[in-house]
Amino acid sequence: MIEILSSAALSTVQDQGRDGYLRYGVGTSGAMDRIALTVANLLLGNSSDAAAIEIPIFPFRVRFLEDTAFALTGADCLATLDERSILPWWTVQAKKGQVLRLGSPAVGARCYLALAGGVDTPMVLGSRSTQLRGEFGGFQGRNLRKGDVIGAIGPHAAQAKLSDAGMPEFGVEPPNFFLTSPSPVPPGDAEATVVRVLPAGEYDCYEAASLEAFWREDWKVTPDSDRYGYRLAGPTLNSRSAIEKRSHGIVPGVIQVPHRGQPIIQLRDAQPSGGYPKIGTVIEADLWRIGQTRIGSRLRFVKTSYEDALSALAENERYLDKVANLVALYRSSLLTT
Amino acid sequence: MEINEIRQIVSWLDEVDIYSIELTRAGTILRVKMSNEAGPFAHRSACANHDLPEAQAVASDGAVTVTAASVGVFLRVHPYRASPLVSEGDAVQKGDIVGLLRVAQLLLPVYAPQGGLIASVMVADGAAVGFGTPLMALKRSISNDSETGGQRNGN
Repeated sequence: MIEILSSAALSTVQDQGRDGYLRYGVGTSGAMDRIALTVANLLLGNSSDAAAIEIPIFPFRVRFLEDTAFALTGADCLATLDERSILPWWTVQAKKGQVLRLGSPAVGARCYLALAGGVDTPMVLGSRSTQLRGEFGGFQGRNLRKGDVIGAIGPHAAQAKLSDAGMPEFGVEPPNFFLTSPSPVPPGDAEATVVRVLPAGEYDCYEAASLEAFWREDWKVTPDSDRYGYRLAGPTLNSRSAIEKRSHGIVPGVIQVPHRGQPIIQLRDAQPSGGYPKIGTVIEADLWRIGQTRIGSRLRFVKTSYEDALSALAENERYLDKVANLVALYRSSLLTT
Repeated sequence: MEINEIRQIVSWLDEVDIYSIELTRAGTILRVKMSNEAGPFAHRSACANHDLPEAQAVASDGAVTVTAASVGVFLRVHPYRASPLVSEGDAVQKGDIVGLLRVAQLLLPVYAPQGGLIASVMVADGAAVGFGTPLMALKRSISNDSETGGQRNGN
């Protein structure tokens, strides 16, 4: 069990998401950076559907109310456990009473705090993710607040055995060093997050100059960006004629263009339908990069193909498979010595 | 473990550029260190025992050498960070993380075996190391006794 010590604005319990209910009007929710969440669970030996706490606002503090192994992934928040500094993408055992502090991130935007066994919130429609719009799932269907006490499912048998043997402290290399970052043409701001985009339904309805600008320019992430969507600022995108669409199904990653010509990337908490024209879709394999892009920073779009989008997803899987195998080998080697 | 098995392992190690290995089986630990000196099987020590390896060698003046507990790539700097975990002259407490060993995508901590000052860092950031490779020299500081150094998990 842990107690939230800071007014933890916008921190939520998330797992891999509530897939399969878009047709009933229920959005997916789930972690903005699924790779970070997956690795946090791997480090602890948790099951892949375990939930963790997604933290987008810092500083953030929690107190451990019992001895608990935990893992931190995602943004590097220069964490400390009492006085001791904790490296990013790392797992370690906390003792009862210790306080974990997360500072403003040096790298990334969202930090994931996973607990041994996973955060214990009820499964609703097959997921522990917080559905903010519907006010269900996660911790009472809402953002976490100061004073909330969050339970962990606790270690299963193999984890408990390792914990008795002295929980190992170790980490993994973050995915940035394994996955190839797409390169924009022309090369832009080196600090910009680059994501691959598939042209979507109404792509061909835009003026040639707008399409050229879409790929060429940096897009600023405005303060009006959150788990629902990122509103971007940049050159105005003009369609060749007015586009009128009926409301239709959309998925996380869809880039809509409202009438004022400034795009919105719909994300994990987006409504499952919308009527704005769609110029493109950020590929699933790159959504984690958006989850780690801060307000005020810049985004670049690189055109890709359906085949390349699938191979990017396969590359993510290769990284996660490698990490899963290495962590399993390492954890089992500690049990046999 | 049969002597023929050990011979086979040594001949394999002879063919590749591995400085030392440690194999653990139920009840047995085999540690093989290859000499860099010329000549087949010159000054090679292979010992099988039932003790866990010492993580450091203690010199007469109380200085200790921090050695690699695994084959890997020695990192002084975490991949996300700009500055090294420790530099020469830094005071450390027992159990502080002074470096990392990268084994494929895993990052394993290198701990300070006692409190003291980092006297020297003996291996470059990013260098491949074998089991037992000396990484750093630690000397005892006057004000910081190893027995009363900080606990691994803070306090």
